Amino acid sequence: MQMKYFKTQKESDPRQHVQVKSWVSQAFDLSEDVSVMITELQCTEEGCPPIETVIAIMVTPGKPQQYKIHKPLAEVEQTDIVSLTAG
Amino acid sequence: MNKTIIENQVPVTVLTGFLGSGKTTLLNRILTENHGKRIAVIENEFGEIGVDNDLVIGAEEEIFEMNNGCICCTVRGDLIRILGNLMKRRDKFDYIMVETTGLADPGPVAQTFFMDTEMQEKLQLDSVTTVVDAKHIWQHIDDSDEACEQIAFADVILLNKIDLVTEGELDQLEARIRSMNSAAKLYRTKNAVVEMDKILNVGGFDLDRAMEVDPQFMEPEYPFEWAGVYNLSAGTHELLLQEGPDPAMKLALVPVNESTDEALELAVEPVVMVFSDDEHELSAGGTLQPSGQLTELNLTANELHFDVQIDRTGAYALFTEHHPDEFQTQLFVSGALVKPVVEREFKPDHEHDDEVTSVGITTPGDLNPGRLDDWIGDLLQTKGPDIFRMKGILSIKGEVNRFVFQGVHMLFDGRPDRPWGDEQRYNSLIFIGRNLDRTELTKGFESCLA
Repeated sequence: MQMKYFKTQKESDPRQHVQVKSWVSQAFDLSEDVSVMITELQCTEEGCPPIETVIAIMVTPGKPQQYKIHKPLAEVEQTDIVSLTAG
Repeated sequence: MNKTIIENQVPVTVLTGFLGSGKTTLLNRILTENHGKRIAVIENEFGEIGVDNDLVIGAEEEIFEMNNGCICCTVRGDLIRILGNLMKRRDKFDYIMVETTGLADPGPVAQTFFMDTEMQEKLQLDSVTTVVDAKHIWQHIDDSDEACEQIAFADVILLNKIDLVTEGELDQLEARIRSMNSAAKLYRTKNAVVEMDKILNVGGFDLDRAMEVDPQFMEPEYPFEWAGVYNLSAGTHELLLQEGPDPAMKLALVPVNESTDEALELAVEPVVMVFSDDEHELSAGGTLQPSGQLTELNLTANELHFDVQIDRTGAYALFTEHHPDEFQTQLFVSGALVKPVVEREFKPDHEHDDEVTSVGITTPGDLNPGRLDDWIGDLLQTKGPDIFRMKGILSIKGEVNRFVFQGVHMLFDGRPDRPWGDEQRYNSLIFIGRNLDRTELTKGFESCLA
């Protein structure tokens, strides 16, 4: 699948972003002052998902926990987040 | 130009510069000037700000890498946390300044603002502003990655402490900085005194301004960086150099009709041909003659002294591969230091392996979006670590709106901008980074034209 750098892309819904952050906080039982960063990384290499969602939880300074979900943010569901805690 | 500042986004200025450059002086000035903005400050060199401000937050540089095997980017964990907490007090301020340490790599700081979707929605990286100590930057510009990157990443550069150097030195420094980053706005300052509208809300990513075509892009490239015409009497003179960034330097000494710009201009094309010949190596202690031959000075000895043998009094033009100041080159006639009567700098066609440069491309025509996607995807994947910044305005075939984009290393952010309307459609983009191959980039981009 080809990336669409230069095509008009549908902006990701900010509500989905807030929702996923909230699922992360719930699933990992994070306190309010723990920052969570969510981003989508794109890749053109064969065999890689074209877009994956990367989540970094900044619990300990300097050592964020990082998780990857092999789908765009818009398709991330609560079960995807819950399954990260099992790993 | 639509600065693409969305309502309620907080503008952020990232302030970089080596220790002693005047960065904190500038910050203190910004905090005390009457510009009506409430500014929150995140500073790495905590305690330096002399202004009472309860929105000053200390940060400790905390870098981490996000890597999925293909895309790799480093971000600042401390900034993510601090900005996240700061945004909970959003009603207390309307601008954020991030001051980095003198030795900070600006890459992770800038990438932080591109990484988190929520952060992108709430904050707008207005500019990276770099303060340069006009007197002492030469000590770092050739051998410090941080100094080069701070200049390369900048949207705005203050050449500060101009009272400590001569006009000529400033011109030389400005030319060097322009060769590294031709898109930045450059201001000469003393005590970091600059109008606030040059620093705050400048819309560094205001691409119309950033992409104003630098005439240097259009200049032809030469195999030499500098030429100067000297009036030399018959006899043996002395050329002295100091160790510099390269172990050798090619040069040619040729007679010219008179010591004028016009006479120098007439010599340029013939000397371009001389520079395409094989060079004759000359070691320290050897004799240089106005033979019209290409000579390569070996600059590895302790004493870099060469004789200059002139048989007939007259005007002579010296063309050098690198700027002579890089080797503190001096010419002595009868023991007295002589300066060139006229001199000129040239845009060089050579680049040192790790040199930071800008490559600008401006071309009319529409672009094929599919080919463009393939090209930029491959470019970011393979050259992303070397591309510090890129910005552009593009004309995509079939799209009524201009497309504006910017990137930091492998991260890319692009969006449609205002309609082209009656304006003639064109493409203008710039890359700033290391090991950039101008020919390859231009060829690659032009292959995307529809």
